[in-house]
Amino acid sequence: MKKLIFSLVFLFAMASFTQVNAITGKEYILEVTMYEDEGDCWDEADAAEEDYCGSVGCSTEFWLGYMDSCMG
Amino acid sequence: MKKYLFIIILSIATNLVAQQNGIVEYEFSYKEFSDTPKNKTRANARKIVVMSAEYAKNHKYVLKFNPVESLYYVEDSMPIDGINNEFAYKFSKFIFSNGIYYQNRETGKILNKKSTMGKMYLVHGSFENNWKISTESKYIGKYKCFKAVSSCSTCNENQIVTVWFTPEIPVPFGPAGYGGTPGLILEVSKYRYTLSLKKLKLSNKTILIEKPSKGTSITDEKLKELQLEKRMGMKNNRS
Repeated sequence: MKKLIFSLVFLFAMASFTQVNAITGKEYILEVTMYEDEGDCWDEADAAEEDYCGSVGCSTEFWLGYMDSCMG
Repeated sequence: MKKYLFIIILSIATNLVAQQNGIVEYEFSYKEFSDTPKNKTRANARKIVVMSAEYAKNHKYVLKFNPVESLYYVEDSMPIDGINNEFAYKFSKFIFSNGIYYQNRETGKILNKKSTMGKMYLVHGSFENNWKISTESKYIGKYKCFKAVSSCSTCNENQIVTVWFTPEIPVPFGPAGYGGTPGLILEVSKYRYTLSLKKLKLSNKTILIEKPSKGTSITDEKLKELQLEKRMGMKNNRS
């Protein structure tokens, strides 16, 4: 009995998922950047800050935000 | 005769006050990079910065003002094809829009409610009073605007802010915390980024402005100090 209920719930969930995808007709690809270690983030945050406001050290707030997002 | 003169003066004064309530919408643009990044790290960083700027074009930059106060905020909006880089999208809201800005001409103070270092702050600052106003002028919409440049002895060329304000709307307000000019700021540029007038609606009715509240009170200088300490601390831990 439990097995039957579980199968029904699973089937319903799968059907709903397929239906939502069919209705929206859109496929979203979320880009995920993988960082090997903190050092990658460090160098990248410096480079991004330079591109963002012209030099390393020009916006510590931006740099901290970048590091925070980069390191997750 | 005196009666007529009084009525004329009163109507001019009323008209001027009426001109001091309004809602401005700005649009974002940026100068593209001409060079190519030299390595993978720089290429990754460039990608995020460029994508952020592209996302920033979609947001709505709004300044509401009455004769005494103003409030600036950004209504973020999703691009039509969705967000495919959360990281870049987060920074798109950062360029001209770190939190909300409240300005008060009577006190000469600015309040910026923003989240940084995992905490919500109410940052207290003052109007910029070191504008170098030039005679250079241009029309933005139907308004004659004058150029003003921030003067900062410790800043390099990239950190200089240029604004265009119109004395025809005599309020010292502007977007992203910029203000203190003898007229409404209709355009502001810093480094590669520009916010310029998209729509302006003046109103005869007083626009109510809600002063931001909630958040740890701190001065602009103190917050910058804390941020720098955190950065240096991270640097020391790394080496």
